[in-house]
Amino acid sequence: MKYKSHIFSSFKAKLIGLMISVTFISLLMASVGLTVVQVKSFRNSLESSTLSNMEILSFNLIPMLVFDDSDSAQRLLTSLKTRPAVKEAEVYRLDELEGLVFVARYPEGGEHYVHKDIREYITPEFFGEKHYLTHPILLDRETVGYLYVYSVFDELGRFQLEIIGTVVVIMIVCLLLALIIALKYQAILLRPLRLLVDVTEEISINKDYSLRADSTGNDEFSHLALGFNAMLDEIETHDRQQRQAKLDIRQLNMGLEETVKKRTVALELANQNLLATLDQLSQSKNKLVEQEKMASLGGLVAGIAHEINTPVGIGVTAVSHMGELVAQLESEHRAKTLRPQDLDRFLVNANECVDITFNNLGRAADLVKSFKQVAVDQSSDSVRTILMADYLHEILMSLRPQLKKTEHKVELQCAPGLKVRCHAGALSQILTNFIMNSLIHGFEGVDKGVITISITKRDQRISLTYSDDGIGMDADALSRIFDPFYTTRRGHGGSGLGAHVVYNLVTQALNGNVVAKSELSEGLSFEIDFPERENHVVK
Amino acid sequence: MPICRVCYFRFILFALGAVFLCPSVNAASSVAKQTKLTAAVIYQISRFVSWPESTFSHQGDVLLICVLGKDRSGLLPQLQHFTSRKSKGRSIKIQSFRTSNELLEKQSVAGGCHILFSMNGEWDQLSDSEIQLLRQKTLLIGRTRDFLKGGGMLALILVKSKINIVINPDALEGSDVKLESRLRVLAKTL
Ligand SMILES: Nc1ncnc2c1ncn2[C@@H]1O[C@H](COP(=O)(O)OP(=O)(O)O)[C@@H](O)[C@H]1O
Ligand SMILES: [Mg+2]
Repeated sequence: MKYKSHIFSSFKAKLIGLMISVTFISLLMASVGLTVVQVKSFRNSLESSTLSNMEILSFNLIPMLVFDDSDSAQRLLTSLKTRPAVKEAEVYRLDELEGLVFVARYPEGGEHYVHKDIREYITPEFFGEKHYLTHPILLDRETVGYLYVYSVFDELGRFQLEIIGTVVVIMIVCLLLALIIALKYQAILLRPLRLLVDVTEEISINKDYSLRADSTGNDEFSHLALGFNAMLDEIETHDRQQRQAKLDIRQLNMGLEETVKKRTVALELANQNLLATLDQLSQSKNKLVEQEKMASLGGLVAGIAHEINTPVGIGVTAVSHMGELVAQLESEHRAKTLRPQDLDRFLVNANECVDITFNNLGRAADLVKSFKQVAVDQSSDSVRTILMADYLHEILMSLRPQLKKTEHKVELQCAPGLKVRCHAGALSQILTNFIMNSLIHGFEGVDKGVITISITKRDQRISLTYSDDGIGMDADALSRIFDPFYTTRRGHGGSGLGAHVVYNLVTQALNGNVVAKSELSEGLSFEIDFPERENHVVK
Repeated sequence: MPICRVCYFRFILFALGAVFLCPSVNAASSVAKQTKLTAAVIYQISRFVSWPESTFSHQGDVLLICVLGKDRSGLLPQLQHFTSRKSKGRSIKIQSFRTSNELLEKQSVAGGCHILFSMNGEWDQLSDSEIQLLRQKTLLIGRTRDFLKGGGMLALILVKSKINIVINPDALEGSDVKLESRLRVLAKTL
């Protein structure tokens, strides 16, 4: 409301100001012009009346000058009393010898007054109300003297005052009239604008964009209203669109929240399932790892049993052959058919049998001893000091059943007196796995493969390098070799846990690390690095 | 040069004044100056007098100044000076009548006089009726109050150093010759 009244008051003020100032300026100019013209014509009339008077006076003064009758001139000048405006008058005659000669003056007896050459006022002059005039006195076109008159026209001042007063009164009246007209007319003029402002105000308060301004009529305001309405149309559609968009967005948001909730629930469920599966998986993995361990142990047992079977069988055969020889010797002795050469032959055969039996039993004992060692190491977590070269031999011995059938070779590179305190079982299991993998995977299609195992010790750290010259692996397979269940032989006895078990044993039992290196058909190598155990736990 | 002429006239007037202040010093020259002054005054008066138009019709624009009586003071030559000048645009002629008889004889000429200046003596010879006739169209100027009493119209009377103009209003009344009022203002009445 404040805004509105402010706009209107200022606009109104401008309009009224314009009208008043136009009126004022035109009135002022007209009155100034009129005043100037009036004053001028008044002056002219004053002057011409003075002039005609002076002419009469001059006419009568001529004989007085010609006959040098200054008394008469003086008397004549007193007739100026009838003209109160005349304050001073002087008559001069023109003399060749004396120049201007003073003749008479009015008022009589007043001071003889010539402030400058009176002939300068032959063209009369006005100074405000003061008027100076010198009239030449002519006789037959002969200048015989001059009449100088100084008048003060009080009526000129009065006239000016009167005119100015009248003008001021007229101006005040006219300005008042203009003000009244302006006030009346501005209301009519500004009505359409006020209506427009009312509409805009209502719109801004109620936000009702369906309102329209009155655009009837054919003036600029109706054009403005038309434009305003067009703008409102646009705003209305825009507003509607915006509202719709807002609604859509809100609905979309609500739907989205719902969806998110649903998805979250589903995800949580899936997560739980996953967690359970993971649990199951890790359980089954552990189980499998155990099985693998047991399987390698079982394989070892089977191999060992098979190994022992041969010497024990030979021993049994040799002993039973010896029993036959003894029984034959006993019967010959009892029949006293024993000849000395028969006894010699028996002794040779008996010695041979003893040798065979001894050798084979010794071999069986060796086998059992090493099996016992390996088996005990594999199943227990014992840490002990081993003579590395011997221990490696023992491991190879336990793997002989597998190696024996092939033409592959195993080369050991190990300082003979190297003693290492470590988790021996883990080491044996690691190497067993390596060798078995080489035999199964690396030497697939290879007749004479070479496996190289080298062990060195420096600064209480042991470096073990295992390598074969088999078919090797590509980079992709190599990157997954330690992954549990990664195998290329699924369904053909591969569990995919061997390398994983190796990785676990190296990192956990040996507290070291293992790196696999390989290239396709370039063989595979593992580099294991682990610290030697401190010597305080002895089992 | 008009201013000059006036000055000249003025000079004469003052010189005359001086002569009258000390008359015994140079009587002869004072008389001559008085004559000059008289001639000048006669001329100047002619400029403020109006005659009936009929008096000019037959002789063109000529103002005829006549002098009656014997010219002992040499007025005629002095008047002759003014024939080179004009009065109210008219050229001036001088006519002299030695006696009143001559005047009466040359009636045709005398009738055309605009101004008749009368020296002392001859005037008394004219009868009242003759004077009556003369002043109908002629300005009659004399030098004494007696002249005025004898029917004259205007007299130039010397008082101290100045010439006073004295008029006989009755005589002027009965004449067609009119003195301008501005001149009358200056004149004294008999
Ligand atoms: N010495 C090797 N040469 C070539 N490939 C090998 C070698 N050792 C292991 N592999 C590959 O690594 C895979 C994983 O071995 P491993 O974990 O012991 O599982 P599995 O022996 O049960 O297949 C094998 O399937 C094989 O493809
Ligand atoms: Mg394997």
